[in-house]
Amino acid sequence: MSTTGLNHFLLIEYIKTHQEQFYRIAYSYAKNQQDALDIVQASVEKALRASKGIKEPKYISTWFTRILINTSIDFLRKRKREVLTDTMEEWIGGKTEEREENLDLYEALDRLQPEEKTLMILRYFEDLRFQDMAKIMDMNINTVKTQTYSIIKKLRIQMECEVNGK
Amino acid sequence: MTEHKRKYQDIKIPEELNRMINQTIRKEQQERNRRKRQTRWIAAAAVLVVFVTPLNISQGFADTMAEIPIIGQIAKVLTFRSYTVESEELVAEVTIPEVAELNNQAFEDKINALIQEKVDQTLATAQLRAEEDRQAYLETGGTEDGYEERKTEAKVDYTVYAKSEDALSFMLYSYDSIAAAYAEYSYYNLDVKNDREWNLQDLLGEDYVAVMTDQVKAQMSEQEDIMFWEEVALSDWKVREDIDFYINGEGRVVVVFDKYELAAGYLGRLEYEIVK
Repeated sequence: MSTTGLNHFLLIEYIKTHQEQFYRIAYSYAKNQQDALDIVQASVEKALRASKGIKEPKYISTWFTRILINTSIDFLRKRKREVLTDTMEEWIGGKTEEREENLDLYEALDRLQPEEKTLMILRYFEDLRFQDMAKIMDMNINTVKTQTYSIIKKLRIQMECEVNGK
Repeated sequence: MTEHKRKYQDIKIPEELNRMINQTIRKEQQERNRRKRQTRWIAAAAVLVVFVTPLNISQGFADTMAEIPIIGQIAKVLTFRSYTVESEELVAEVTIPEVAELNNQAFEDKINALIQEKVDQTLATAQLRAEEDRQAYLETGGTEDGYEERKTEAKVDYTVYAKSEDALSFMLYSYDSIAAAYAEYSYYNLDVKNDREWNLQDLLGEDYVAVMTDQVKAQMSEQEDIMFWEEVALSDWKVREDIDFYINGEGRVVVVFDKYELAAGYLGRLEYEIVK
């Protein structure tokens, strides 16, 4: 037996002990229970099948998080296509009153592109460092920093505008 | 940001999550076992014809051979046996390493007996735990048939770190589906020239505790991303005398700390290579 068997075992242990974290991340994208559960399940299946891709146990978390995020983003894209054809008007038009109250980062996530969402979730909810985010997203660390700050700025302007009723 | 963070932490975790995760893991495991059985037969059939020459050519090659049941016994020094144990409560897939063709038969027998004893003991404990689990399941309204579906699964397997003229180093590990916390690891470091087990004193010298401690501390100070426990950072902290270790491909000692021993549990078992 090689270390592949051991890594697979460590992956299972990692999945069992971190499932709630996965769910929170998935939920932040999907914003409903059934979709979040589907995302977690699909990610776990993918990861277990691809466990040979784990080079060293210490990278399991980075590796799995990347799978989880890619699955979430794919899912969101698919759903968006379906929703757009159905109820486009609801998305663009209505719901203005609701927006006045409870403005915060968590809800503001909905207005971001999937990739932008990822940066916010990893940085502000999962408390990751820029260097780990760069590894997970396979991006240059400076790009990660610049993008994160520019999203924050964008959100702040949006929120302030809405609070002032503009 | 604290308010946002709190909202995130408050996301309600549905009860199905844990069940879904366990089912997904189990289903994939079953598929994996099915695939493995198929390929093993094909590989065994294909290889039997070709393969009569000695095996110590390359480790990778020998490893591949050892994975095929029929051929396994021919590989020198480390071979294995695979079997499945099944009771009403438990299914265990066991792969046990076995040392073979060492110079000294008595030493070989002793090591193999040690391994077997460890495996038997592990399976007995897993069985006991599975019985408790089954009883709890039946007492809370579960049916006999229902339990058949969610039987405890246990696994015993091993991994090889070094296979050289001086050292044979491998680890036996086991776990079961009831809880990841019950995973066990046993290390075997054999001095194959002198028919004995390596100990840290032989490998690192009289002051081996100080040698390990210095090196581990130095490496820990570079791991800025890990929050080590406070007591580990104190100046009088030392590496345990009976720390787990293995010998790696370069012939160096690697010490392995238990989960939670140095830092938070999610970091797993932290390893440090000791360069002498």
